[in-house]
Amino acid sequence: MPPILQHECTRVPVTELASCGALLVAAEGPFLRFHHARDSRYIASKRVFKAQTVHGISVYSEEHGGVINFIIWGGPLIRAVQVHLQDERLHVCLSDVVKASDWILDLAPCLSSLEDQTEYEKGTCVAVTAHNALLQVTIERRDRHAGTQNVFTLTLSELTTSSRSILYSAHVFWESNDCVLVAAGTAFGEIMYWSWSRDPLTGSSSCIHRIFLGHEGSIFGIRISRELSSDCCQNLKRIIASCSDDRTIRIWDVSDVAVKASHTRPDQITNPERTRHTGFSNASFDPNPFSSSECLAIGWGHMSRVWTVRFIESTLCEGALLLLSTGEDASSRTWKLLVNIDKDAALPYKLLQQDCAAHHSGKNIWSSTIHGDTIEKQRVICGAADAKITMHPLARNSELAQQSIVYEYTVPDILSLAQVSNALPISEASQHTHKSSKKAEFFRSYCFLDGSSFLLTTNSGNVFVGSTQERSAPHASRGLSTSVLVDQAEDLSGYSICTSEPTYGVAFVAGSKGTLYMYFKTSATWSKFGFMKGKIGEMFAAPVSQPNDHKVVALLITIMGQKEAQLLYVDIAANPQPHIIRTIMVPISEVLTGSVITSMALAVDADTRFLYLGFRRGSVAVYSIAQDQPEPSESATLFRVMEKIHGDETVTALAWESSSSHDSPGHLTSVGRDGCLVIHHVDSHANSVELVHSLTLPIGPNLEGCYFSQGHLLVHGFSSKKWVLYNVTNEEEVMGIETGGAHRSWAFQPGSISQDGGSIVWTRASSMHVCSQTEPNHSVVRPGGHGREIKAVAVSHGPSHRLIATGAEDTDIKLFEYIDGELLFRRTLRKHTTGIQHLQWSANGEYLFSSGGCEEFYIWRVRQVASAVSIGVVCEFTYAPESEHADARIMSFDVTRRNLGYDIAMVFSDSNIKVYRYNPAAAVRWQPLAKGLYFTSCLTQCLFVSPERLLTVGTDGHTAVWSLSSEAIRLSTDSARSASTLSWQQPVRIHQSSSKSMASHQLNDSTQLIVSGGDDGSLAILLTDSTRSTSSSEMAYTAPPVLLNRTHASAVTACAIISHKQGIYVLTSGNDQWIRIWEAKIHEQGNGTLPATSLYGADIVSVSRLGRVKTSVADVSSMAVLDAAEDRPVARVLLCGVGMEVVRVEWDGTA
Amino acid sequence: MGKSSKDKRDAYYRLAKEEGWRARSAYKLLQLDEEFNLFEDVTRVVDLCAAPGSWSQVLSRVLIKGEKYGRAGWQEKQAATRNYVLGLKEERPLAESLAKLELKDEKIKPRQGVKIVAIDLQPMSPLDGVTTLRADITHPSTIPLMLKALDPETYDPSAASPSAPVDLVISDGAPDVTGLHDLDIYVQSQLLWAALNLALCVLKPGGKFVAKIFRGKDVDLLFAQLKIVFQRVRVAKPRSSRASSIEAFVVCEGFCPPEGFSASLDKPLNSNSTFTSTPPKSSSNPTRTLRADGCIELDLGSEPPSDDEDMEEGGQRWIAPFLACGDLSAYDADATYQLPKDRVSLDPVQPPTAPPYRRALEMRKLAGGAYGKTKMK
Repeated sequence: MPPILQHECTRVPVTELASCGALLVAAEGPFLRFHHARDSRYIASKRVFKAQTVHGISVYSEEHGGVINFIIWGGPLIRAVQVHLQDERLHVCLSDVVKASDWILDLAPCLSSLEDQTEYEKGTCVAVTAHNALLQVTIERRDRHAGTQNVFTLTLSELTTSSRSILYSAHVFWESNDCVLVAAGTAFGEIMYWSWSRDPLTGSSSCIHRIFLGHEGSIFGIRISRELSSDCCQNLKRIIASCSDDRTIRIWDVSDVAVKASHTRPDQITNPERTRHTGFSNASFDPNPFSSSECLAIGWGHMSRVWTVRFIESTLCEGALLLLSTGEDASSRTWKLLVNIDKDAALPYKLLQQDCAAHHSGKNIWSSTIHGDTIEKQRVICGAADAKITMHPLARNSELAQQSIVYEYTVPDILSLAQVSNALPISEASQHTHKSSKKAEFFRSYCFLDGSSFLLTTNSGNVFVGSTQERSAPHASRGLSTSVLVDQAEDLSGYSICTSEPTYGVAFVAGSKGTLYMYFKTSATWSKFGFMKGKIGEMFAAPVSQPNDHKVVALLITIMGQKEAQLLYVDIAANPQPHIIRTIMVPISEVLTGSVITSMALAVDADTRFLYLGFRRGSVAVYSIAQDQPEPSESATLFRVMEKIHGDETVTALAWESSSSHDSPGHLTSVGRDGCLVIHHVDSHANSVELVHSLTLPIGPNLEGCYFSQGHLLVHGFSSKKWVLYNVTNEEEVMGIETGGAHRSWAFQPGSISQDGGSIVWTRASSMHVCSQTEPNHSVVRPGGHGREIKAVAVSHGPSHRLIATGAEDTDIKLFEYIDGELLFRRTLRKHTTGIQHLQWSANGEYLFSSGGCEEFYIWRVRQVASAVSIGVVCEFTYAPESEHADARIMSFDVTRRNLGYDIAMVFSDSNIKVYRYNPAAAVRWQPLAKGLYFTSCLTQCLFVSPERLLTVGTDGHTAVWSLSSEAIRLSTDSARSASTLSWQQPVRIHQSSSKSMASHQLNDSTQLIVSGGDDGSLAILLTDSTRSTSSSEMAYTAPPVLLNRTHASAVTACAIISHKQGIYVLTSGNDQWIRIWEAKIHEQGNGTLPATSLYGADIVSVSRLGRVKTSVADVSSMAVLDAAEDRPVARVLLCGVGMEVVRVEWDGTA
Repeated sequence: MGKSSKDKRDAYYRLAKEEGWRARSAYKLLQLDEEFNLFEDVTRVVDLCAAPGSWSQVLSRVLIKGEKYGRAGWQEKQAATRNYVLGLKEERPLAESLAKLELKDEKIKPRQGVKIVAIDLQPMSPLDGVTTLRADITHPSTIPLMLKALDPETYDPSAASPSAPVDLVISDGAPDVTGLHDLDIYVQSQLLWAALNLALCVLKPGGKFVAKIFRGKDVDLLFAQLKIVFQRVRVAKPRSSRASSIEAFVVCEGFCPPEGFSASLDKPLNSNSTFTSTPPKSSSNPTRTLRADGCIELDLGSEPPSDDEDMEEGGQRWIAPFLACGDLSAYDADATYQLPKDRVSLDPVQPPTAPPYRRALEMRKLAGGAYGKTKMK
């Protein structure tokens, strides 16, 4: 039996979503995936078509007992599906597939079949096609007990015939049991509103009611509203919403259309524009473009094309209709239709954007649905081209749009709130002084005591403790419920700072005079506990674990003008007063680190404490402190300086993670205002520090804090307008609050319950803003991948860990792991600014090499890290472009190990080939070895056929062999050595045009098999001998090149080679979305059919066709072998393009 | 992308501006002609989806003005422009050397009885000797409009078929792609079917049909259908078309309508109602040939349909032979070219038509803020 190809895991764009009772159904290629609607847990997946993508899902009857009937369509195909959810198990029953005469744009079940129980056995739907024909789909259920297979039959009949011009969108709507409304949007921006009606006496008829012109591009989405109630939205009875290429959403009035009446008299609608021409209306050519008087409102907001628009069904009208739209800009937006009060306005209504949710990567939200039993709990679910499904609360008005309401308070607000609920009497005098004070009164600083209360200081020296109220509703935000005036301290007037240690509920306050105050929440006590000589510059607090139950906080204090900081150990719960139990002087080196400390972390070793201090100038200093050996004049010892780990930017936060195994080594995580998250592996005993992770985060550049929560690493900071809390572990935004940019006075406290929220308080325009959130702003139903097409894939085959690297048009590289049939996303590598061209791992899996346009080439060190980040990535090398404008693309490259380093050969779109050596351990890490120029055509492939020989293919379809002279490849320590010149030899025309894909396989010590897939749909098979001399006379090829024509109906854009039990198998794929498997046989002698040639010798390669399977991945760009052990019964390959698909090769063909 | 960087990235974009073509796609037709000699004995041509008109421009220059873009002339011209663009030293400035080439073609012979009708949904600027129609090629009323344009004097509205059929139907039409691949491929195939339906109505037996095709999913079904009505079907990719695009051109020669077949736009054929006649058994045997350069070319012959096909779209599938066209010395659409420093970037011959989102850009600009960054074309 020939091997069989099976789809094992498919991740392609989510093209449809439907909320069906207890189920959430998502369409991903030909698969339906079922999730629990309640908690979005995955239940099962079912392949409902063979190769056709599902485009639509419509529920036609829902009955009790967990049985849901729906009908699905894709392209011209229709199928009925019944699912039965029972005890977490899903039984799926499918009808036969029926094929309509044309592509189906929309389908709607008849209303009656939803309600009438007798109709259960029979359902009627209408469908509208891409040529505006109406079809009837009848679903009949056979006797339940007749058999298990195909309990449904579907029949199709045509109700109206097709028009000629093509539609991009349509909506069908049952007005009554005998009347269907249709709105159709053409490629030319026209909207047709028509109806079909059947009458028992006069038969059926159809009638065009309106043609709306106005959109300046194709119409991609259209919806007819249900009949609007009379007290709603003025006097509108029915409206149409449309969205278009022109980035707008438009509302059209069809209230005055009397559908019934028009069918009783002959068709009176004429299309005056039809008599002139049959093409586009164009304002610049048509002097009197059609007036769009029926247009009620236009909504602007989407940044690019708008794909879908829908009305949000709700009983609460409040005089406004809500709409939801999704678009190419990967955002979903809610809109409110309101009467335009402005009398001079051109349009009688206006569409106001209420919310914009963008939780997908790349482009194109193709599908959305609303789920929720009650209006308060309605949620928007979106599925996008990144194969991800997200869910966020539906914003009914723009203030609730961010789930967190921002509350705003002025200083007098706080004072008056304090008066109401105050425990301490506020003296008249103090209030008086505030008013008469020459100093402006404003908020000075904030720090959180716990998840719901915080301490704040004002410029006049007032200290308040505010607390936010808890509300039961999950999404309700919390404003300030109480405010207590703690103190009015004269020495905090004019200047004060505060910091806190929320694990103990303690805050420290200090001012210009040097007095140290402490507030302890448990006992609500405020006390002075120390004095410093001078103005306090900065304070940082961290808990100190103690053998006994003492609550001790380490407080680092800098005093302005002093070269030493002080680390105080404060016993906060001591009776009767908190006191300092230990004082350690910390010398600061202006030369080594600069003097301004910006962050602190404490780490404990077996007998030593280490103090990590981050500085404004980008460095971190490590100090050692003797463990629990208080001496009268203790001093911390500067142990090490980690220089410029955030460049010249402020190190804003440090977090220490001990290794679980033993105490000593651990990981130091830091974030800075350079936008980077950096992790070092630190072993203080061995005195070793190693950078294991350094990546730019997408939320920066002003990263301000980091912390661990439930095994996840969270980072927060300010981007241009927002403050964002970001989960680094799963790369999702948790909170995003419009703060109007970065601020000086602010504080954030993570929520106590989960990693998914927290409270932030900040000063903006001299008032205090409070905002808190108990849930993330969106949840992920299913994680996704790239939002644009993948251009390159590489799988590491290192000894320990198998990682998949993908690079896409969106300029990102992503790392995945394939575990238990799922592609699990691990990390995004952001640095490229152009689409990725090629990726390759080093043989041991330690290095990832990547290339792109604009001569971008990076070398990434990738390793496992025993940290919340799990995979550490450091970009070790950035290639400096050599050409003047750096505008060529590095189309491909190959890497071969040589001694301790790597030789890298790159080919460029301007016909250059360049060879370099990278040696991470050497003093001169990067050395040019050789370069050459082909003609002017673009080179697309590059491969080492031996350590001294390179093979290239270009868009001209010719291979060329380039020999590296022994001089060029000799190890050299001479950094100034210039590159030697390469020249090409032995051209062979293997394709008519470009080579689009290449794979190679070592057959034995000397022979390498190379296959190349061409734009011409052919496959070239080459055998090379690595032992042959590089002199020009000796052929690199050991057999005549074999060119297999017509392997695919498209370009062959991906190929891979697998060997199994002495057999050599080639897998190919292309834009025609076939995956084919071929067997290549290498014979000992010529196979006799053709004479041996003098040039290449005997004809020894034969190829045979073994099998094929369709793939749902469009624009296939690359393929990689996932696992292919010789002795295993299966092998797996990963196919990438618009999505990813794992295909299993079952060798014995019977599995 | 700025004008200048686009010049470097796209040799044909630059060349089109320099040689006065309305769009770079002119080179695609010229290179197709180089390979297939499309214009041989051709006088009556219909250009579908013609705007902005670069293909009609080629027709106008070749058929009406009688300019020659023969292979030899083409190559010389290529070499001259290429040397110029690469900044290589040349004695004569480009214009002069090109003028000299023009002089060589002194026997400019306009053909007799040339009729060119260009049809597009979008309005198109007029061209010498080309009748332009703004019409929908899928609309039945377009056929009489077109027939009247072909023979304004002799057109008889009652006649079922045109008096003097057309030698060549060409179509460079493509939809704006959405990114939803199967929809894009469907819409493109509908455009191809529309063009084919129209061609079936007007093409004379033995006539040619050239149309843009996406070499994507199920293109092999389309190839098999075209093979029924044409003796020879090949798929070609000019070197001026980017290798990274799935665009290609199907070149069908020797129109041979099946017996008893009568074409009509009232009952157009499409992917779901195909030719009723069974396709000729295009099964071929495996071949193994030794090429002169020592390479071995294999063709495994037609693929037997397997029992358990993993797809719904049944029907005959056939892979048309592929031909890359355009000489290897011609520009490579994928290559980056270094240009001389003092080069002046020209404006396009015809500015792009206003995009549908133009007003959206204006609105954004009014809104200011981040929107203000958006560049206006």
